[in-house]
Amino acid sequence: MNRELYFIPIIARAFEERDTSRALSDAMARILELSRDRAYAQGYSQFTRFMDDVSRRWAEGWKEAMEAEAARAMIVALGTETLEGGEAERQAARRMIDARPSWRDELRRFETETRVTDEVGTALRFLLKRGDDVLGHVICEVPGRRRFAAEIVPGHYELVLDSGLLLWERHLRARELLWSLAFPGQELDLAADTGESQLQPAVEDTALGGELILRAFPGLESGRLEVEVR
Amino acid sequence: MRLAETDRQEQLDRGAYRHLSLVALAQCIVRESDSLALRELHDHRPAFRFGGGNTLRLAEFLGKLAETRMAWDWVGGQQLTLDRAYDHALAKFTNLPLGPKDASLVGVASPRQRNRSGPDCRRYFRAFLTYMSQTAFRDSGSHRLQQERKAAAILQKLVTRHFYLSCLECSRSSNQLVRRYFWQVAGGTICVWLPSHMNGRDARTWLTTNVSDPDARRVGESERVQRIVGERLLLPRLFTQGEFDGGTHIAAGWQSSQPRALPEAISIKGLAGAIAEEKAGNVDGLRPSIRALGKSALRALVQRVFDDLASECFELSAVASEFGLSKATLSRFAGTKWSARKGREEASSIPDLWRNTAQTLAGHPEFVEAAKAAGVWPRIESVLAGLQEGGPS
Repeated sequence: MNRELYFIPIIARAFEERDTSRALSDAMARILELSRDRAYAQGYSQFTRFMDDVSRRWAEGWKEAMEAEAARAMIVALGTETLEGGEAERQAARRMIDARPSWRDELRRFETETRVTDEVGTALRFLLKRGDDVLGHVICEVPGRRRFAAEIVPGHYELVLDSGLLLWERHLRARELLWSLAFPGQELDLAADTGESQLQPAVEDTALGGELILRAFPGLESGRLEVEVR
Repeated sequence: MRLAETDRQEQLDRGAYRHLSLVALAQCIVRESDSLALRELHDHRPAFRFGGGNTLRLAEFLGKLAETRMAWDWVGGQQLTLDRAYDHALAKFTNLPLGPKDASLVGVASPRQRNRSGPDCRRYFRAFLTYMSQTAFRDSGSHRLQQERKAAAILQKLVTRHFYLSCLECSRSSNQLVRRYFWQVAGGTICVWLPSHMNGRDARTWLTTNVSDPDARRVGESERVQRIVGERLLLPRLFTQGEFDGGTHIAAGWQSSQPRALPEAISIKGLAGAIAEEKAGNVDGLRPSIRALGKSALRALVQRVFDDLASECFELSAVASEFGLSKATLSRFAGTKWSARKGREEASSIPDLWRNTAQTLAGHPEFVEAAKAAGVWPRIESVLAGLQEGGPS
């Protein structure tokens, strides 16, 4: 046996056994047993240096893993705004992440992929539905902008926030959408079709305590629905 | 016909919930264990967005998260662990103990069934409500549309964070080197991760000796206990943000970054085969004379050295001659008698092949455990101190 490296084949052999854990324990015992023989003094000295190197590399690996995991925890905490502490802690965490390009890229990716609704833009997005059909999206900037949906025919309508909250629903009838029925005997101001006229709506509903106003304007063959966010 | 009736009934059931904001739904879930509110939230509220795309429901959003490379990294590239993390995170937001509105199950379900095992979603929705009350109402004032949008954003962040935590939890569960121990202390139970070889009595004794004044009611107590475990046992310590910047402590778990495929490679190819493969794969980083051998000859050389050592016939000059190397070159690569050097030079005096072997074994948990158990593992404090001082590279 090569006495300077006697531990190498002992360890290598342990990995060929079915029960590796037990074989490795036995291997360690064998290495220690032979170390008592003076003929193996040099070999045992090399074994301890070898184990120092193994443990240092193990610790380096763990330290790297710990740093990576701490960075990941920080990235998630920053990205989800759940970092404990105040602005100083947040900035310190940012500096830490920015210090390493791979972490900085990971934070950017995290922020991009999990970008939340209120960061997509300032507009509010609604779905206008008739029965089970989605007629279209109504996008409103806040505050004060009005948006119209044309060609509204009699039926059951719902206005739903894009996150699923039902804001308004109503069955709009012919007498609310057709001019001749809503205002019999009166002339239709055609300018109303452009939205510039301030005609009286046939229907005016408020929702969310007045934050949302919905108005139905009758037309010649169909009506229009106006959504105003206050 | 039956389907139509079911649809109609569902519409009637939903009616009362469709107007409820996310916060109101969460309140129903937390205060009344309202399963219909929970269903409304999961089935009909696409309040989430991924990558700025279309709106998604909670489970769909979690599914998108689970497909990211980030998530893959969080579980160390283990698909099974990732699947479990997805299920675990979803359970945090779906698992509801039966409430008073579950009339159909009252009298049928036993008390045990009424307290379903696993996470209780009310806890997570309560956290959502707390966060909302602390921040969102202040930020968005009384504007209810803005509040709803803010609520969706906060819920998404909470779900994301808990998915990450589920990834950590499931990674630890699948780590055979550690196990969870529930420590009974004043004020309740603290869950702590300990080396798997510690039995319950050892764990209790160790914790009682090493952790002063434990109190489960104290905020951050489990993190404190876990940190002590990490620092004092032969486990990797927990890393803190303070080490970077003197900032606030953030507890992190441990999870090896060593390639997990390594133990498998050793078990398939043997130690020599795994190292030969590794060397051949990184031939560019070798000394020029060894690199000149090429991958195939290098593989053969490594295998030959291991084989000759095993059969007790290793002759350095014979092997060097056979592979066209000088004796000095092979001695630097796989020498048997290492020169004695001290301090930082000590490691560099170990020939390349044996340093690579040390690197490979450092990534093998069973080897590390066997070395610790045999008492041949250096004290980790001195190893870490060496690293902090700059140590040998």
